[in-house]
Amino acid sequence: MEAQRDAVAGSLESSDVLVTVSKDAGSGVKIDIDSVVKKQYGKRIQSVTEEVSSKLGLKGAKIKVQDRGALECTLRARLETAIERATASA
Amino acid sequence: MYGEPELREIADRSEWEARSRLLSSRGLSLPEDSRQLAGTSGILALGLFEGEKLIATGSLIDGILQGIAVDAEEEGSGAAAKILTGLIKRASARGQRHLFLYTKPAEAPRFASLGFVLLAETELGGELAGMNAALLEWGPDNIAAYREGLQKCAMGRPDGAGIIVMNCDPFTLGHRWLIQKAASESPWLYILVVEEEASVFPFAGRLAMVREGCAGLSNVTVIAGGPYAISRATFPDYFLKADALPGSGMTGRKPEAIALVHAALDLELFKRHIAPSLKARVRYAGEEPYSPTTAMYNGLMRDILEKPALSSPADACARNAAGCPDWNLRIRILPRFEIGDKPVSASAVRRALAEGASADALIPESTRRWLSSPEARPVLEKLRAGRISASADSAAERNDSSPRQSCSH
Repeated sequence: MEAQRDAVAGSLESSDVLVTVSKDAGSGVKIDIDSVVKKQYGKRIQSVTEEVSSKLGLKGAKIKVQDRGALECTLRARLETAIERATASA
Repeated sequence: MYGEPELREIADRSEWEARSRLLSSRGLSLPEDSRQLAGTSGILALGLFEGEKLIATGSLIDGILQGIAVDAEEEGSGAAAKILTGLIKRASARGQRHLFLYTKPAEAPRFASLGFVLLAETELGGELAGMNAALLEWGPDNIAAYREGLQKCAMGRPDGAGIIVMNCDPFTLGHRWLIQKAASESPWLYILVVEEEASVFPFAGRLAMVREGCAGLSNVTVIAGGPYAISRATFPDYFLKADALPGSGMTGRKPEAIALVHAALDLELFKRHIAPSLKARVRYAGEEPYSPTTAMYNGLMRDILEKPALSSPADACARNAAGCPDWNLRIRILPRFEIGDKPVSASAVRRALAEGASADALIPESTRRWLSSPEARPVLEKLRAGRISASADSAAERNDSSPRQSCSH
């Protein structure tokens, strides 16, 4: 589903993650990951982000993930919320 | 400790006063004090409250995050992160995705670790050392995309080009003279038309006038300036402490000192990102009637833009997010174009138009044509009615759309 608007979920607080989904000109999904534990978990965050956005059929969007040491379940929840808000039709 | 602190907008008078006291306790002045808020999107101020007590605050004015302060006792508790998150989310809900943040260079790493991208910082020494500033940005539309746009414009064009940054409010014979002179001595010349400035004529009109005015010049490219020319109108100075100004000599001239820091930051942005992307080595400017600070401003341009050491090649800089801190340029300041001993200035043209008089003697044919077009009518009416000042000191309109480049050819 196409991103209809920008959406933000989560927070910049320690152990959380701020996910920003924004409308983008192209048809694909561009992903930008920054994390306080980028060396150890950067790849994992990238693959989870790709997996969730693909599962929800996201198109035409940029996803920025600003990770502050969140658990994977937190990352998934934030991604789903932001993508759902960005693609909601009304 | 017991219960979560509450994040909400600063609402009543006692809360505004508490915010004022908190900012003051951290050595910051009120962001809105030294700026005109008329014509802006207003101020969004958030507070983090523990019960009745304000423990942190932050503001968003015209897409600029400022006035972020945490009570000394609460430092390290994540209060700043809560405030920033709140501001970012509210800005996003308003469709403001591109946010800027000015702070002292020492504070920049703190924000960089939260996802802000450092664009530039000043490295002023001597008297101004206590007033250094850093500029960071947030959002999907960023300096990397802007630089790519500039690099596309410069593709296939010669190295060692010249750049002129111009407002052109409107485009006069003086502007055209400067451009022709610069073009005649440069392998290529880029004109960056400033978008973010307190202007009487709308950006689209100014860009059109410049393009028309340059139509006959084969080595000139006109480019939209994008959101990275730092407008003096929107430059916040609340974090530049008055007592950081050394010596009684400077205290009484604080506005000039602030103007210099603003200019320095703008020049750093130019040096690190804009010039290397266009493979440009010369910056042209018309002589500015800056009075007492002209010498200091020109000196600043030479200190920041002209560096004796060799600088990194453009392609190495392209890979570095923070740009090229050591890209060196030459400054070439050309005298003002005069007609009959009087310099031709855009303000003289605006004054004439405001009085309903003809400005034809001061403008090229292309500008005269634009002024007779339907697009020009609303602006001319406002000028004549005195609803906008010909001296254009009105607050700038922040442009929130994504940075766009369109090369003229």
